[in-house]
Amino acid sequence: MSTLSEWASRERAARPGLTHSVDPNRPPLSEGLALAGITFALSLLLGLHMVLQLHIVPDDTIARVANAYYVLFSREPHLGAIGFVWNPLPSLLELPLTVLRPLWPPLVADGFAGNIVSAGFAALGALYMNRILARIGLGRLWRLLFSALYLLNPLILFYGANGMSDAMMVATFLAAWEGAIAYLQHRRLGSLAAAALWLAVAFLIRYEAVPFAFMLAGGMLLGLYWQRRPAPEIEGALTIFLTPIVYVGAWWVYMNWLIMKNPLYFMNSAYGNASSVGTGSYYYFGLAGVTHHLLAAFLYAAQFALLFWPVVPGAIGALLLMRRKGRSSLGPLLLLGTVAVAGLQMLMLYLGKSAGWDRFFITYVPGGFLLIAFLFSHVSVHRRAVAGIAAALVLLVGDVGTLVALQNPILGHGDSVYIASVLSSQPISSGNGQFRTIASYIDAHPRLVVLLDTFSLWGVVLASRNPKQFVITSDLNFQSLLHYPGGRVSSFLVPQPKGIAQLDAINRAYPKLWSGSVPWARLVHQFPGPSHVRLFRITPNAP
Amino acid sequence: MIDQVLGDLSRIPLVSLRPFRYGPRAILVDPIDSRAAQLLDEHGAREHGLLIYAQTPGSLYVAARLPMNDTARGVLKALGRRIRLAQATSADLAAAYDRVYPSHPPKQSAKPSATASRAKAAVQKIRIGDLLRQGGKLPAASIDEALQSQATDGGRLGWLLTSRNEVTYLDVAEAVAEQHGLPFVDLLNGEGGSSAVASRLDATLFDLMPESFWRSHLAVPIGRSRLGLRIAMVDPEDTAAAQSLQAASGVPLRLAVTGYRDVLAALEEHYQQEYTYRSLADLVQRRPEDSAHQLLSLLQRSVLIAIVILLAIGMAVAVMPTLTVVNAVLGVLYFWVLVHKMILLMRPTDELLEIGITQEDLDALDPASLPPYTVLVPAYREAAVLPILTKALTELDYPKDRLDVKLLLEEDDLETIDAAKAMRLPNYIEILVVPPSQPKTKPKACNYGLSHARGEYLVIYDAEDIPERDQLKKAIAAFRKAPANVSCVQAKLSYFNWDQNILTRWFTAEYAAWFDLLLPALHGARLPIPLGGTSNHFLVRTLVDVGAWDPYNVAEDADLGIRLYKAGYQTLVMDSTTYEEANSDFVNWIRQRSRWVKGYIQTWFVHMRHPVRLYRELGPKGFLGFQLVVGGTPFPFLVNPLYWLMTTLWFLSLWRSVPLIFPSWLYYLASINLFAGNFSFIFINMVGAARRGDWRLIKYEVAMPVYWSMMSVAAWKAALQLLTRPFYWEKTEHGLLLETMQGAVQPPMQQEAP
Repeated sequence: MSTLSEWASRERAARPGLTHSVDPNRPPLSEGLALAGITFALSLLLGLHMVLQLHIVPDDTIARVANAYYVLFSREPHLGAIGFVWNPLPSLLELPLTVLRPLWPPLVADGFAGNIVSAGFAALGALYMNRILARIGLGRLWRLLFSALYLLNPLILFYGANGMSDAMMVATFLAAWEGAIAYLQHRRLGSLAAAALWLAVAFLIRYEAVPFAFMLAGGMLLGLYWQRRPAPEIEGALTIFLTPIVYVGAWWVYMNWLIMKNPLYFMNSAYGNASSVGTGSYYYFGLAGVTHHLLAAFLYAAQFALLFWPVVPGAIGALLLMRRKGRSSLGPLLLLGTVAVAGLQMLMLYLGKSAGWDRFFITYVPGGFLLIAFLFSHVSVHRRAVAGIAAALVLLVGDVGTLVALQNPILGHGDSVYIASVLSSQPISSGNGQFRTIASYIDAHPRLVVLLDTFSLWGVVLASRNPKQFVITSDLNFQSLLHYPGGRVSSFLVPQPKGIAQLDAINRAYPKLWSGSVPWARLVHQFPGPSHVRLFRITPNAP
Repeated sequence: MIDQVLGDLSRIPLVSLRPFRYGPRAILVDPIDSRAAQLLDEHGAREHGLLIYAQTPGSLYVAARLPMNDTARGVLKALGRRIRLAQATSADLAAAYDRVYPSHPPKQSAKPSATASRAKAAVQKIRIGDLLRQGGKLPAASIDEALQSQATDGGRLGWLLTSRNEVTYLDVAEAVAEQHGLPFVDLLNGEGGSSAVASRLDATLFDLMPESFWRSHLAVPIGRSRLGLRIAMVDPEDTAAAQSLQAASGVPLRLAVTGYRDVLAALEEHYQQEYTYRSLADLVQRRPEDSAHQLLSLLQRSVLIAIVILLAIGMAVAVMPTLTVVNAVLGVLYFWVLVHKMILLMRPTDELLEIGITQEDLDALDPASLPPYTVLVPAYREAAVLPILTKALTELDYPKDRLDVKLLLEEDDLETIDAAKAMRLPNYIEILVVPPSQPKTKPKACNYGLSHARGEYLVIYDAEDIPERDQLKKAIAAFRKAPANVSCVQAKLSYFNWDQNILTRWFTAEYAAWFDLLLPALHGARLPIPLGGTSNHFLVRTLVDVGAWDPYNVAEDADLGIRLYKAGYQTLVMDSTTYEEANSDFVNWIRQRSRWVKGYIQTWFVHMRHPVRLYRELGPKGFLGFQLVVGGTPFPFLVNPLYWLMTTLWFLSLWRSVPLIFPSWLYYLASINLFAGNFSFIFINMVGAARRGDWRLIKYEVAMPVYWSMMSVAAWKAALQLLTRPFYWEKTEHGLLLETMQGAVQPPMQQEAP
């Protein structure tokens, strides 16, 4: 017979709280910190070398630093200047560093603040990679060896050093992965919560976090189901897992609506990736075949596995393992996480909205490492040494493969120019020189009030000694000044409307201005170079 | 001659055989002349309950256990000397034998094993059992069963049998009287048949000793004559009491045995006014500064008035700057509450900070070592839930003979009193009627109950509570594990009707975050813990020490937690749950919540009368913790509506000045409060529910802000009521779910457990 208090005890026992004070599988913090420290130093040194000696300053890096810079140093300092096209976290983290510009101008002018932040994330990624390896069951020797191979992977190392957001994304993905694994293994609630928060952080870095989060949730679902967890727990755990990213996503949409008056501004604005792709400037023949052809899109995305080929045997092995050894609850989590971003790219390629760059497939690298480690962890103890050496060799050859692939773009655009420059130690020429010329011209004419679109001419603002001389895109009255410049703005600075420069706000408002067909704008100066920028004076008869 | 002496037992004086301290150097003197004692052999002495404790050339002074059988008389006659007879208690005699007959090792040096002493006790008590059986009071089988349980769990047979409702307290008293050869008195129905006990007793005799003496020794003075002082006791073997009384009165004692209920009734009648007074005024008298008797001190009043005046002047002179300053202060405070709380709440998501009691800990408890435990159940107009309560209490895994349940009912609540009386409650549940006085609050009733408590430990349950079966034992185990300064162990609360409607789901989720995250976090960080309304287990001594509950505070539980911390006591949170009934009705919920919020505000003002002193008493960490938990709990709910209103006005562009009182830094801060605040609390609530295993609640927590808006309604009601009716107790209706619980055998929730 059941009684009230027995019911109470049973009720309690049936739903045990999740409280674990000990975490058996976490490596010592000192180990992770040492690894992170080494990664940070390595990435930063490489970053310094690339920026200062090779002049490798990717547009994506400096654009984000620029956005941070406008927040505090434009004519109207406000947080909204951080922009709503790119996810805001990289700029937000670079914001405090831009304050140090007077001490060391390259922090802003060469976007080095970005390199510092990306090196930080590279360190974070190494830390979490090591933790996951420990959770999968690798002893100290093997996990340190694998971690070392991971941080030396050229793609990981290069993006960790170059200030772009790809390494940041990978690091947050690894952190989320680690929490999800810890939850599946030990039902560590704090890890589940941390994983969920990392996904939200990932969203603030890259939109790819959305498919990754949902694929990871799918992996969790399968894993928990296979572990025969009760349905309410699966439902509750997944709700916790996805709430932060959904909330942050909703917040971002709301912010776009509140400030840009367009809830989907980040997606469909003139500056979004889709518009850039739409200009055709990223277009090349390879993309033609995949648009609206699902199989072709799949094969196209799959080919990028050559960036880190061990991901293919890793995935196949994991599938076979799950078939043979029954339902390993971590399998789906690792597999689905690995293919999430590639899957999105496949979809985008199919829709004709992706440029299909190498770096969009960077998640094959961490995924490949995890899958190989996962297979290795299933080898019986007495074969560990041989299997470990074999696995390490596979990963090492994989790293070499990455290096080869980076130099010979698999398809379409890669960053092979940069890679070649790093390998040959030959500085590359970038648009920065042109920006400096323009900036020094404007600095020499301090009475000019120059309107420009930072989408294309950010470098000018960054190089200028007096950024307040510019009316920039994020200024609250930019649109008003653009359309009614008469008596309010002295000059327009505009690039030649070709390629993505067609998206320049001035070119969109006055497509014929650059060619001199607008009567109230008079050409004052030309700056030949890659962008062929022209400075126009606004005459009094302007609207 | 012996026969002559024995003819009138009441003339035989009582003698204490215990060693006593004597003289300026307090030398320990044994009243027994051991040479004289040797005149009787040990076997004869023990068997017949005799002991020669002194001799003069002509006489032998003999202590005897009375009444005496013929053989014993024969033994005495055979001594051939003039016998001076005195009566001694069995305990005194037993101890004396051990001292004077060296063949028997002294008891103090060799520690008897628990089983041995228990067996010995059983042998001693069989006689009571026999007496009861002979008297036809109960069958032998019941006695055997009781003896068996005594052998495993310890305890005393009389209490054991009465706790099972197998005999009455009077039956036991009669048997004890017979056993000790003492007269038996029935105080309640005795001479005259009147139930008014104290009126027949000499009131001045009570003044001989303090109330605590009479209560702890379960004794009452029933008369005085030239022969001595007549005392009715429940346990005549309590020689310490007899000695103290004799010392205090200076006259011989004449003991009688009476029932437990008789003593309680006599004490209740004599001391009722004192109890009432104490339950109302103890704290106010001892620590007026700590009572909410007066809400605001003069200084607080002046400061508040000064603030109002300043604000008024500010508004008159410069509206926008004044509003901006107010806005900034609120925004910064809000931000601090948000950040500090989140930092605290992160830790328990992964760590077990509450004290965990394992099955091994429970198994290690020697049942015989379990002390008396008082359970206070304040109830008002709750006749309907009494069956649930009785059932839950009956099922508690604790020796019932040491359970001292006080059902605290208000005198005007005839319905519940009648219902309780009609229920034929087990003897260990005592109906204690609290006499009417203002304010009529739960803490006052609890204080009243506390002054009657028999237990070493005490817990409060609400009438509709269902504690986990082993909660009392867990609490004991926790106390025994804990450091010496621990005075309270708080169990967790949750709701059995969580799935009744959306309100109960939110409410249960809120409780999960409170009891499974916040309290463990506070416990882990050694910060003051506001106690929950029920299931707080106290060490009675310390509870009395801090002045117990403040009858004028409507969040007496939270307030007591703070005062315990102030007094240097620690509160633990224990992993055991009591299930309560969540308020499922909106209006009822608002009333209950407004009472809680009002109490928190009261508590904040009470302890902030002397902020500097409070800071010194609590230390910087404790002070911040107090501000966060007591002030920071109602604060967001009071402020939220203001910000929602401003946001709405701003959105609708109805009040263009809104941006003017938000300088950009404050705008960002307020944005964080809004966006991060809502998110953090939703998320942490989800994690709290998960930590409890209440997975099914999680999805409902997405809409938690709706619940918070209801909290704001309650908070403002509370704030306004604080001005108009500060001590008014908003009663919560319970038993709304009675139909489902009535069948208690199979609660509906059970089927939903995974």
